[in-house]
Amino acid sequence: MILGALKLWQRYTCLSVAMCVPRQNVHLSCAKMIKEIHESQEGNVRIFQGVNILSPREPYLVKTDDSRGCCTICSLGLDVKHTDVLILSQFLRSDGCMLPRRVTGLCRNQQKRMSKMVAMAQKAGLMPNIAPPKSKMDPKRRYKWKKYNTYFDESTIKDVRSITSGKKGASTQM
Amino acid sequence: MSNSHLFLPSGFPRAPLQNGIGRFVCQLQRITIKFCKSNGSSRGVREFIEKDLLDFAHNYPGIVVYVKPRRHHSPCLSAEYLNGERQYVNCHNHSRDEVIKWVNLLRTESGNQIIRLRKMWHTDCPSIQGPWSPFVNRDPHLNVVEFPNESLSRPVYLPKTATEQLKEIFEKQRQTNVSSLDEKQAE
Amino acid sequence: MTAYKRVQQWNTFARVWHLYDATWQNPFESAQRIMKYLKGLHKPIYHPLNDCGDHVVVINSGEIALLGDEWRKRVYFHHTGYPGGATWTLAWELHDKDPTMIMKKAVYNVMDGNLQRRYTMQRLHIYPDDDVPEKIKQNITNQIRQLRPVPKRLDRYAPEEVQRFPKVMDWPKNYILR
Repeated sequence: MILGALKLWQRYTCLSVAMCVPRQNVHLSCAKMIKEIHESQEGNVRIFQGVNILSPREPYLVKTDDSRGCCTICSLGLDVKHTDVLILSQFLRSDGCMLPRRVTGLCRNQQKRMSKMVAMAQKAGLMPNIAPPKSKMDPKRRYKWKKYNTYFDESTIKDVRSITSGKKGASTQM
Repeated sequence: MSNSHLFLPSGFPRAPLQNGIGRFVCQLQRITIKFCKSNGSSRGVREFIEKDLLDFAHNYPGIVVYVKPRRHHSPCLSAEYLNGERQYVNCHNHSRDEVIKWVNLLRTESGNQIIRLRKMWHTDCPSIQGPWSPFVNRDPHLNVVEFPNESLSRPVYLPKTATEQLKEIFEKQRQTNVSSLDEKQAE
Repeated sequence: MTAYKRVQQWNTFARVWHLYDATWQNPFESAQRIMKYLKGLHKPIYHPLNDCGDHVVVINSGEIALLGDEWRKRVYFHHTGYPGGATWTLAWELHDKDPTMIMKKAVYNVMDGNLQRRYTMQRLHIYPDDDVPEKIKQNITNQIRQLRPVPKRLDRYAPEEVQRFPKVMDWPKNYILR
């Protein structure tokens, strides 16, 4: 009975991961399972325990200890462009959707910048393997003008802060 | 702005008889000063003749000076040069100083016709290296390169991308981690 | 003119064949650079009256990149001369028809409209891909540098490289990723 319940629970936690996996040949956001069932035998007692799995990103995480409490991108001082697909792809789900701010941990400004740049990179066909299942993987097979190479200017992305301060008519606060 | 220089004959700067290299040959050979003894327009020229002409003739013995009075005419200077050219200056109502300046100018001129200079400089030795060609200062490595070549096509200066920056930061953090671990083990 | 001087003259005015790879390059910015080579403006002996322009071979003109929404905002106008003969073609439509045309027009338009323009254009050779005839390929002795770096697609990176790339963000402990 208990075993059955455990199996069910494991399947559920894995299922949510497995949904995204089948179509992809290359894993970018690695299939993340939260727990794994370990089975062990001690004399007469068989023990099943759910063990937390370390995230595959754990060893490659860049440390940012910023006293001001900036987000990662701000505190590292990175000027991310839409061609930096290795950075942008970290904020994505497997279908190419941007993760919400509570997950990415970015500040409001950077979250907007990143989501805009993700859109740019996808329009430019730089991340064809992180896309919804029905999309055309090869940018060359896209419709009409979308099949041609396009690049973007990051300076066209507007600052969130400037927009809000402009609306309120408040003086700039730094 | 005038366009009169367009109708001048053009040429390159040139010194006659290689003047100025080792020795100087005065190109002015003969100067004739024509003036009137009574007319007011010749006053400056008369003053020049009275006060400066002897000095001038003394200082420049190579120049023949003629003084030619003629009644009721404007004064003028007529200079003849070694190349056969003649310069003529009207000195009507000129003061003494102006006449001195004109005479000095005529003395130092080469007598060549005034031309539009196509170049403002002249050199006897245009190039020591020889004329330029597309093949001078070319990297010999390019002779054996197969085209199209990716490294030759990449822009020379590229600012560091965020991808490269992040890699560097991460590598630096890893280095410091390793070194701090080593220190702990040493203790 | 001595034989030596004559050969020297040939040497000085020798035409060089340059290669330009238009992959992911803006044709209108590249045209400025290509035009300098076509006219010979990069040479110290340049004078408008001497004929010292070089040949430029542009490859991969089908792979050019335009900024933002220019593919459907840039319009090419043509008039046949007859009433109602005006046509407006969008950049992507023109590129569909002839992948060399945008590049060619870009270079043509950056040059001054004088009698020399047509002859200068004859020294420009554009190919939609990197398939260049052998006869032209063997002349090439120099390559013009690109203006922008060619971006690398995410699926062109090796999976290990993607996995080992330093991460700026980790998912929360209990977050179930889709």
